[in-house]
Amino acid sequence: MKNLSDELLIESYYKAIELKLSPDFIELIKREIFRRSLGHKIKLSS
Amino acid sequence: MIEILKDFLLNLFFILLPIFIIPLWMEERNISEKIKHHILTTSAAIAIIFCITFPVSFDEEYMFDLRQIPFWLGGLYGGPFASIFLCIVTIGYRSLFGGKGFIITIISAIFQTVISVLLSKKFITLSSKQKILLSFVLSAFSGMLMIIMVRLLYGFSDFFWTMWLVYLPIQPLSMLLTCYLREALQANIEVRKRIIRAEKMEVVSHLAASISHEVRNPLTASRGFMQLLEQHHLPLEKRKEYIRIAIEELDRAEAIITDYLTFAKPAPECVEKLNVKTEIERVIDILRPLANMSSVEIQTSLIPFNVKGEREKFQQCLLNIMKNAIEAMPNGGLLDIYVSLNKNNILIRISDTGVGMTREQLERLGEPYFTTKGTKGTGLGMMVVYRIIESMNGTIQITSEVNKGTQVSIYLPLIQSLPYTSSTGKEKILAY
Repeated sequence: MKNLSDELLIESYYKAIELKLSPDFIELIKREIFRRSLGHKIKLSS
Repeated sequence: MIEILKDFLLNLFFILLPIFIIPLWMEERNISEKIKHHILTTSAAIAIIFCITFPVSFDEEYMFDLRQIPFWLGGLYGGPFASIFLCIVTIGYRSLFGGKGFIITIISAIFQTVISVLLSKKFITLSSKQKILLSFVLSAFSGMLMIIMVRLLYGFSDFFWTMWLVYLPIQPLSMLLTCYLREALQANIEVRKRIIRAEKMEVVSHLAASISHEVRNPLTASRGFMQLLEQHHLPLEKRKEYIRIAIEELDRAEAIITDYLTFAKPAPECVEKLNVKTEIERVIDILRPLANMSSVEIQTSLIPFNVKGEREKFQQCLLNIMKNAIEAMPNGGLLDIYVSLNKNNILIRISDTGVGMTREQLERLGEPYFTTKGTKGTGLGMMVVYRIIESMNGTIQITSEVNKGTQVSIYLPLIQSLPYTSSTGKEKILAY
């Protein structure tokens, strides 16, 4: 997951929520987003 | 009579000394099986020489000794070549003394060699009890043969009955004792080996939990990305990216499992040149899941020095120390692994910022069944570490402070390797 671009990572996060994918998966993406210090991007829009 | 008994006991002592002290001494060291085999045969030969040199005198003319015991032991355990070697040694050394009895030596040595050559292959496969019984019977038989030959050669005389009463029972009984002790010693060595293996399996099963946790994450991610692939109107580029990431995640899961299984699988016991850096990295790979679980950060500064040892044992030793370090930091911390050169030794320093140990605990460390982990620990890990480092001719130093952390320093003899000898000076400066 580390090699996924920032943009696609954020997009995947929203898509995963939209498609109601497994909460574990959403959690993993979220963790990666915070690891990259991109937390503000999803917080701003939610 | 007391004189005879004294001489017999001295003979027995000469047999026990090389045949028992040497295997015990060898067990603590890294010696290949082939050399061990040669050393054992040589020690049997030494025992034969001592027995012949310090015989049991019945009277001025007739002397006996227990040389048949080391001969049987060396020949039966050592195989055909050992028997032939011992036969040459016996006859060769006995020939220096000459006398009428020399002919008896030749006949009995050849008899023993033939029987040993025929039986040694089968002998090795027997159980301990059968080995003891067989060697008892054989030595009784060869002792009897000896007496009959003496009877034929010298005719009937007074000492004949003394021999019959003393020599005949003493030799098989000494053989019984020697063989029994040898088997007991062997069993003891086997148990010690098995403890190390059992301890490893214990660690392996402890690690299984962290491994399964760590494998689940890449699998969840892989599954998620595949589900994302199902969307319609997804551009080809993104589709490709998702597939790539899903495969990467699967590879990660596979790598974790492979690392784990490589460690769990028993490896051949052979002493080889080991690269400290690669071995440490491999152990870190196995332990990373466990470290992640308790949010322990791993920091390394490694130099690819070479040491001599068994790969599996060395990994087991490093793993035990690092696992202890990680488990000492349940609320996270820093595991630091540092390699440098200290005179002619390699220093591997493993330090943690964990709970540490008190002075009393530190003193008892390495004792079997002593653990600071309560019911979770077996109390064998550090004992195994000490034993492995000892077998690699290394030393270990541990310092610890409660709530500050523990520092384990391992010193191992350096095996010179060309690319790094030139830079040792620089590393020495770095080490202090």
